[in-house]
Amino acid sequence: MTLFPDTPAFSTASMLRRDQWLIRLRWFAALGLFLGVVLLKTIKLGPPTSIFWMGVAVGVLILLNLVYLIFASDKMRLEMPKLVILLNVQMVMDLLVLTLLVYLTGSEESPLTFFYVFHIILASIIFPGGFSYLYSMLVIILYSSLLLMEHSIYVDHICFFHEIHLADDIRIVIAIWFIVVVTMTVSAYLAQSVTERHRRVREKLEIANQKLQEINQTKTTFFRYASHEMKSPVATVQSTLMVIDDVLGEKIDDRVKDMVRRAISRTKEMIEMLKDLADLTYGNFQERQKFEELDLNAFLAELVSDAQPNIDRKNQIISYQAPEMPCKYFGDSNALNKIFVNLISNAIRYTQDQGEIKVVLKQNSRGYLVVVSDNGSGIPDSEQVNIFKEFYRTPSARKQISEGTGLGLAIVMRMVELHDGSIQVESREGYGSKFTITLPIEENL
Amino acid sequence: MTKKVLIIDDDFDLVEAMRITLEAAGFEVIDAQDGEKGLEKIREDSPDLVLLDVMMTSMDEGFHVAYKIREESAIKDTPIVMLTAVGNQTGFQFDPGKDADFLPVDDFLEKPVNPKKLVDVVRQNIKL
Repeated sequence: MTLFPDTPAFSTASMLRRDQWLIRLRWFAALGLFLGVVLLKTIKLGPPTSIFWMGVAVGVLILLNLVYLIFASDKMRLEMPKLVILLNVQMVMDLLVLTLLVYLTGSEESPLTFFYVFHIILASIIFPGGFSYLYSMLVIILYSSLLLMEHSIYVDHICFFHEIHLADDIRIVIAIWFIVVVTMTVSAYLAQSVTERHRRVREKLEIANQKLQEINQTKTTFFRYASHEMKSPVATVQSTLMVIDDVLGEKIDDRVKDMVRRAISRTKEMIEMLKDLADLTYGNFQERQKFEELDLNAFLAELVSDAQPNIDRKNQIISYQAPEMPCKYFGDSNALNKIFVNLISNAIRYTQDQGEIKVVLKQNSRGYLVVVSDNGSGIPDSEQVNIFKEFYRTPSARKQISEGTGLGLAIVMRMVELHDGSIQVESREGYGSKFTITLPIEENL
Repeated sequence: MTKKVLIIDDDFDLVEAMRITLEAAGFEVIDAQDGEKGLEKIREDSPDLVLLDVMMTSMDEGFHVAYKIREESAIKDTPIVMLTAVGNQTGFQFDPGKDADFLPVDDFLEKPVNPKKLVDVVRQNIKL
């Protein structure tokens, strides 16, 4: 376990800021203690030797803080491990001084024991997770040792309040009241500073997240317009070329005609690409506006029968297996169409003639499972992580079939995500592929 | 008598490609660059069929033109074939049967326009 995670929250800069904050707090603590000592002396509360040594303790605290201040200055440029050591030294010294003050003010009688709480809160603000427990353990050890030493013969107990009933002396009541007030106020301040910090971080995160979403939206809009703007001229180019090939074909020689046909097939490729790019931006725009109730069973049955001409062309077999009842689903029919048309046509393309393609619809407690499998060429293990990436085509796919945008499965993924679903692929090279789509229906219908 | 086809589309090059195709198939072709001019030509020249682009100055200008044609009693029976953009963004295929209630057109033709299909669709929808 790394005690100090390598995150911005524990960077050198932020640790240094915390160090400087701790030093500022200590000035206030020293000032408060100093005033307390002066007050005790004025109202003649407590044994004079105790008051004297309390004054010395406060003096030591102030001197130490001056030393810390030098180390925390920007000139020192303390780096991470040293900064952490310095912070821990400060915290431990503070606890030792506090324990001394607790001893001087009557140990278990002393209301100053409350002040231990601050140090544990401080430790949790300054250090990562486990440290506040370490410090609470240190506090327990220091306090227990103090009590143990008093009850053994080594240290005499200081009877700060002179064997009187605390409530009888108004000065003592006020002193304890004051300590409680200070404890409450400081706790409130520390707790507030923790939550405030937390809130600020959350706000920053939310703003950053919003910006990212805006940027993503801009990107999507750009893609959408770019692909749209490019489609019209390409479509016109293709229409024109087809007129040359089809209508004016008799007037041109075969070589020209051949070139025109090549040009037509390339424009077709480009149009496919532009369509796919537009599809990739689809979900971002409509979100769930186009969701409607549909029968997934009938929907898939229709897609399978639509695929029949392509299946026949390769002498393949396609089968569809589903429960014999309507399967109500709330989804975007256009997006679902993209998912399954892409998967089925991929299966047809990458499966040899006479191959077999299966589409299975199953219902379980969480929703629907649609499995599209084939006994085609399969996808090597090493390629399976890549196939959902935009523009990625496996080398063997490229070799088998030259056309293809490499966007099909990226579109499938996008459309599945639009339905809060998931997609899994199982495949063995040479034995076939199996794509499993999960479409959840919780809160769907 | 030669049948007259009006093409309403702001893409001049596409209009020319379709003109060549349709003229080769024995149709007379007239054209208009936007919906307004298109409506005027329908009233003046009473074409036997209108090829109407969906997207001209606005995303759905074609639809508005189609509605206007259907609202004018003198021209409301003119067959309309709507030219739709490539995969029209979403890849959704218009189905005249399904969408006839809210789309006042007789048929659809997707860009890029296949010459054979163009002639087929025009022949099917024109009132001979």
